[in-house]
Amino acid sequence: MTKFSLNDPSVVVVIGSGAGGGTLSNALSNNGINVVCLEAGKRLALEDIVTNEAEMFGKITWLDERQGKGVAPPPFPVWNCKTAGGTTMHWTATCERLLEHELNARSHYGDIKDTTLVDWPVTLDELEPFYAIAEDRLGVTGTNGITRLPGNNNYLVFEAGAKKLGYKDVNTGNLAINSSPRNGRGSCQQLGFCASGCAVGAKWSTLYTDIPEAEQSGHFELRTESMAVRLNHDNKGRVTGVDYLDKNRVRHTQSARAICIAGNVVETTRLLLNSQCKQFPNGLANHSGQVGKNYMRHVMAGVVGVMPGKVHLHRGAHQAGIIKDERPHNDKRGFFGGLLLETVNFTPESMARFLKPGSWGQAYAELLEKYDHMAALLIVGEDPPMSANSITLHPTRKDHYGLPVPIVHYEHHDNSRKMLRYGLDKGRQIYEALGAKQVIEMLDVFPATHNMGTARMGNDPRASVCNHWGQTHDLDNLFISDGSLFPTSGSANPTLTIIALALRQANYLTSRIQSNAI
Amino acid sequence: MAMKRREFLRLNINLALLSLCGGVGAGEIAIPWSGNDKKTLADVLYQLFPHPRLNKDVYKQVTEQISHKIAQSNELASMMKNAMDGLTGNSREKWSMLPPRDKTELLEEIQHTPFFQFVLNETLSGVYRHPDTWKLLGFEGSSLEFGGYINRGFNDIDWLPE
Repeated sequence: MTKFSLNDPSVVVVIGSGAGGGTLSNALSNNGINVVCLEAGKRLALEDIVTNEAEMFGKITWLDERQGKGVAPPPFPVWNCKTAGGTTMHWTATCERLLEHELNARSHYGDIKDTTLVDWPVTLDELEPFYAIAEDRLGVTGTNGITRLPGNNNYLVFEAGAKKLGYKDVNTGNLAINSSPRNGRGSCQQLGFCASGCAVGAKWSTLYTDIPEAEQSGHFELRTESMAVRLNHDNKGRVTGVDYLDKNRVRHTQSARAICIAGNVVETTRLLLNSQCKQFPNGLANHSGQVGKNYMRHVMAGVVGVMPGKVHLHRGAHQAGIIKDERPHNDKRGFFGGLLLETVNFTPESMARFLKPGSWGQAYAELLEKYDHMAALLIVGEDPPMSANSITLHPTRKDHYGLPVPIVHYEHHDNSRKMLRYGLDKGRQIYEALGAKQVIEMLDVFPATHNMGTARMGNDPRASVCNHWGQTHDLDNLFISDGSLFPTSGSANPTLTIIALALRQANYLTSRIQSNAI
Repeated sequence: MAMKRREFLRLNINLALLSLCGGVGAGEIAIPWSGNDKKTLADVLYQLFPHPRLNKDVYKQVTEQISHKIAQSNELASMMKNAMDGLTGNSREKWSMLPPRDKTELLEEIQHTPFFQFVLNETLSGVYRHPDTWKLLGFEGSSLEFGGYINRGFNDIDWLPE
């Protein structure tokens, strides 16, 4: 395996090995650029992935202390991963492109009070070629002639209810889960543990795609259990290296030609804010004051229907089910932006935890005994960026690394409350149309899984952190490579767009390095 | 009258919970678990998620898991001590004689305390991770060893309208 020395100034340091970092590392190293990828977690082998939710939760989840404020769950506001492959281990593989109106939210929705809505500095035309490459690389069903997954029981309920409501655009979705073997990965066996890592590798994860491909290039080193804690810079507007802690909490400094941060928003923000110094008193690359602001996580809620017959929703792929009819912007609904409805499943423990959090007693136990009659869906909608929704650092409290604990603050905009009400009603109607005995709404119960917005791209350096390449306005050789870049959220699950942006950024960074501009 | 009854219940639950940790002396943390204490805790756990058709051994096993955690952590033991703060005595027998409705009411009184939340969280995990509970609820767990649900009924639903 290739190794690079700590004082090698030729390397690009990528922080994080998930959708953004793994993709970027692979693209850069196969362009002949030396890459050191610092990954805070350990590296699992495919055989370490087991179909046991509790065991995998302990193996892959980011469990270091964070605090939630507002409607973010206080002890666990964000559900992402600390493991090689990052949150591509936990994701449920839905791959929807953003739409034209979503990339131009400010122009389409107008000047909405209490939002920081903007248009993206990237057009759909510019993104489309990278979406196409991403869909092919990931093997997204419903694209490139790839057959969609067959629908499981939970989907068949969802589809039948949707049709009763008159929905037309209903199918098992565009998923980065193989319906038949492709690109060295096997096909979906309908195991039903998608969010715990895919034990057969049918679901795309950088762990067994981009990371090994990068290693084969001879220009890549994955350094696991390496927690980046601070970025260093010179007085010429360039970052020079990264301080990180190894598994024994010993501090090292890796020199860098350029640094790309892909820490899934919370860690990306923390790293920038924690790298404050005389020149950047509010955090590195934060002359705009926008680092950590405009945090988005999608309008998100769940609906569970207790159906008249058995569903066995645990059998099969979690999110192989989507309704897109509500995605277009339509003023008549009384809110701006759109939403998707997507299937989801839960184990008994997750159901007990999320159905009615904090509940106990006879009535709740009786409800949970109807587990095998339950069908479940999520609503995933566009939430507007708001300045007050933010990730900040706790003034005094430190985690076990000695780093300030991140505080994740999230409140619903009025528009989001209207969208939630609308989406929850639609979810309820889907199940009631089939004779559901009981419908339960799961509102403000889930930790965020779609994290976006805290280092937004924009053309104005006073109002954004990065330019349209994800390059920070303040430091030429510092890049952001995750969902932090999103100026607005759209309604699509963000991973495909993170990957498309990373592929696009890789081309730009490669050309800048090859022309010695960085 | 209602207040009086509530106060009575509160006193009793505090005494009952005290019995769970086997008696706590002032300024010290004591974690000896007697058979009766575990029996009381097991009954509290049952009140949290009562499944009458579930093998009672599940609750006993979860009780053991919780006891083990408390015995290994001063922080947890101290949390427990705080929940009992200012109280003495032992009311195991009174607890076991209370009707379920009273037990529920007593537990509701303390449901926002850290001690209760700890027990609730542990009980939820313990009960709903247990294979016997899965069987009761109709959850079939891992299918990897059988080739997945792809040939085991992932789309076998038969009651939907045509």
